[in-house]
Amino acid sequence: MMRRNKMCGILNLTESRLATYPLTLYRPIASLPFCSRYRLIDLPLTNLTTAGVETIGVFTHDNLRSIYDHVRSGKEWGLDSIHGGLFFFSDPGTDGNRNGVNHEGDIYNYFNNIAFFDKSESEYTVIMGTRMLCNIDVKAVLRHHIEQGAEITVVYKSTSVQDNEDKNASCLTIDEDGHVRGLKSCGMSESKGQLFINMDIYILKTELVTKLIRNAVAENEHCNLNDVLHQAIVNLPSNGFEYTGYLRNINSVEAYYQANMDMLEERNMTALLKGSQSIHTKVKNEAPTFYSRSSDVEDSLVANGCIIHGEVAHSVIFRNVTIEKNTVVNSSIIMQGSSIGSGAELHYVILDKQVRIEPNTKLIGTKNKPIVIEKNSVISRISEGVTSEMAQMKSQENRVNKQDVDTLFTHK
Amino acid sequence: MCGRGWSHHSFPRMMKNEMIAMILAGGQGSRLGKLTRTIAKPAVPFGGKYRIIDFSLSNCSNSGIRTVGVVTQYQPLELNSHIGNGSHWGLDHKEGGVTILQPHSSLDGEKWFQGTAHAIYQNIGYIDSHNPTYLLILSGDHIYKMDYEHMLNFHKRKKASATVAVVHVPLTDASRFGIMNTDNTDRIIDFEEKPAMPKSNLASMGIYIFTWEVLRRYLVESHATGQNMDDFGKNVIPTFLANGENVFAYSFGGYWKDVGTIESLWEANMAFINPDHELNIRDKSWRIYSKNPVAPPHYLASGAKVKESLIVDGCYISGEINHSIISQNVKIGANTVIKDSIVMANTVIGKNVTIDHAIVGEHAVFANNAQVIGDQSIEVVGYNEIVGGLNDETE
Repeated sequence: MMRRNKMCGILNLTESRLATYPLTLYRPIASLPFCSRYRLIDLPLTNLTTAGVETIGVFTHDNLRSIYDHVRSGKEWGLDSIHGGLFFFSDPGTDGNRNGVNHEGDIYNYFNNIAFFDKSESEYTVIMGTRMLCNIDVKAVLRHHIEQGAEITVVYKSTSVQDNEDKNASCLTIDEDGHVRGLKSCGMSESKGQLFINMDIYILKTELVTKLIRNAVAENEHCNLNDVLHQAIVNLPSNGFEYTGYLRNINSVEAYYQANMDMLEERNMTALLKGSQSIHTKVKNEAPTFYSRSSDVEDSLVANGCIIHGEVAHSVIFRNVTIEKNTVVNSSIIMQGSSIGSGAELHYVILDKQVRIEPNTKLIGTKNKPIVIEKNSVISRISEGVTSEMAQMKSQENRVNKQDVDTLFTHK
Repeated sequence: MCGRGWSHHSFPRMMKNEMIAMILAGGQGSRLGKLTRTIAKPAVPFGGKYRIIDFSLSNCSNSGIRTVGVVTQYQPLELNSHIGNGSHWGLDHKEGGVTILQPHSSLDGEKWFQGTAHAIYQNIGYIDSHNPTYLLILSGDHIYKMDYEHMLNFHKRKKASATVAVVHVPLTDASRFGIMNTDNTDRIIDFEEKPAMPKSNLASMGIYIFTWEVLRRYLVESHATGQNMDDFGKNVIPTFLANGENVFAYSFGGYWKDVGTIESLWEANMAFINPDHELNIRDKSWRIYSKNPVAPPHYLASGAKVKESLIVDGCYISGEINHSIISQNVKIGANTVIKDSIVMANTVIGKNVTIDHAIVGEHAVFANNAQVIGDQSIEVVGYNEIVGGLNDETE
């Protein structure tokens, strides 16, 4: 049991989209489709609501369409009750950019909407993003925060230096008592030993959040809320809370690809999606998936609404995908509404939503550089030689778009 | 406020509903044996992720009907929790929406529903409160897609007091149905319940539109005079005909299936597997909605062989599935073979199991090496049933 309004939630969605281009060309990281039927925002939303958080503020630079389309009233997460609910605060910034980076920082968006914190009447605020893919027990973090009596509690994941893939991630220096002593880039660490990766999940008193925001604006700083918090956990008595579950930092297309592939292993899927908190998402009314006599599907995750005639292995298939006869789909991610024509062959490919692969098309990527096909593209048959040339080119650029394919055609 | 007309309009009148629907979901469906022992027939699962009543509810929602009364009586628990406030079908409107109507006692004594028309009589208060011009009566235990607005337009065009939806059945089967004999204007001139020598092949679908004011008068008067008016087919339609009311037959041309027996339920499910099925379940313009529990995508493990089958979210499958329907959250172990069968939600099936020509109820458990094979007829495993010795663990 938790007293009503003890804690309000902040979804901080001003995460930079550049690293995951072209998947995030037209959508924020929070809207990235994940594991056949989810979007990344489902995880923090479920974590917050499971912990009894009833009031959630969503702060972003983007236009909100894809998030709002998905979340709506928040009904699937039980946020459409008479108490609290979801509140959206969007500040597209002065440069009207598309890439989710506002050069003035997001702090002004928080400052302009600071009334949200007062109105929430909550004692504590929990701040999360969507880039750090995890399933965390927010209530346990709050309990830890109250017991330890720190000003700010920050969540971290402990990993060995060798296993860390992101040299740019911020890492905490934590002493034996769990107090935060400093913050540095992971790349600055020793070549061996443990790293405490900062997951950018914070719990602190609501009045402290508003104080920090007002201070930053008073000093006329152009910065992000996360920068303010990074400073604050070093300057104020702060504690670390160790998260021990599944974590992946979606900081590149490769990491995004790997996170999806991770779900093919049952222990990962159980840890992230089916564990003590099962993740909620927008409900769609799709028919069951049909497997025909010619289909051959192994080691794959498939959502409802698909029609499968071809061969699929080690892949993640989203809703309403059609895979025709004599196709091979291997180690790939096929998003919602895409269709793959007969005789096509896809290895290490990410098809964004509603992509059409014409018959007999071959797309071969590699594990470290999967080919990404943008939303709504139509990819036609390309001769063998051009394909390898394209794959090569793509492995440098990591994307194929319509123009590229058109150029390839004129080559022919 | 204009302050005018307080005396006769102290409250704004409820916006008049042109037509509201009453779904008669109280039937037991005793011919479904184990499958309706603990739940009502309309709540029986169908097609991997639906329940039979989803088709009527979705048809109402898609036809623009905003007020639906669901009359329950027999084992209503599952049905009530399935329907909830109707939000899954988009029927959670501010005015109207879905209301579950259960028999209740009152000063006049107990009100168990004696029949289809009696259930409507007992709920006159509910219907009047919505003040409809027309009343749509549905039975909630058929598989079909139908636009009730077309039928209403027909009813209005014919200036009918009652319209009965009919399908053409093979003449050899006609003696199992209520058969309508019509003239060349579709007016019903004669009605026979399960005739030995049918004169036509127009079978009643158990779907009626009544002009509410007329039906209401008949129900109230017959109650006052003690005349039996409990059943639409047996009493109401014949009395309407005898009194010269305008009763018309509305021919429905689409897929319509009564799944009242184990065999017909199994057959309808098996036919449903085909993606070219007449019902066209994937048609986005007429979706069939259901209560969708949250589950991750289904996973087909290495070694899984799935052919000509439907699989739903949340399943984990290592075995071989042939021409079968597997519902939500079913686990199927390695070397298990499932053929020509329906496995309902949340069932756990061990390794090396054989299931053939069977319907497996929800939450059933199969131990390793268990066998359920329907030889002469379809084998039914009930809800929560345990098959095979659970200690018989052989790898």
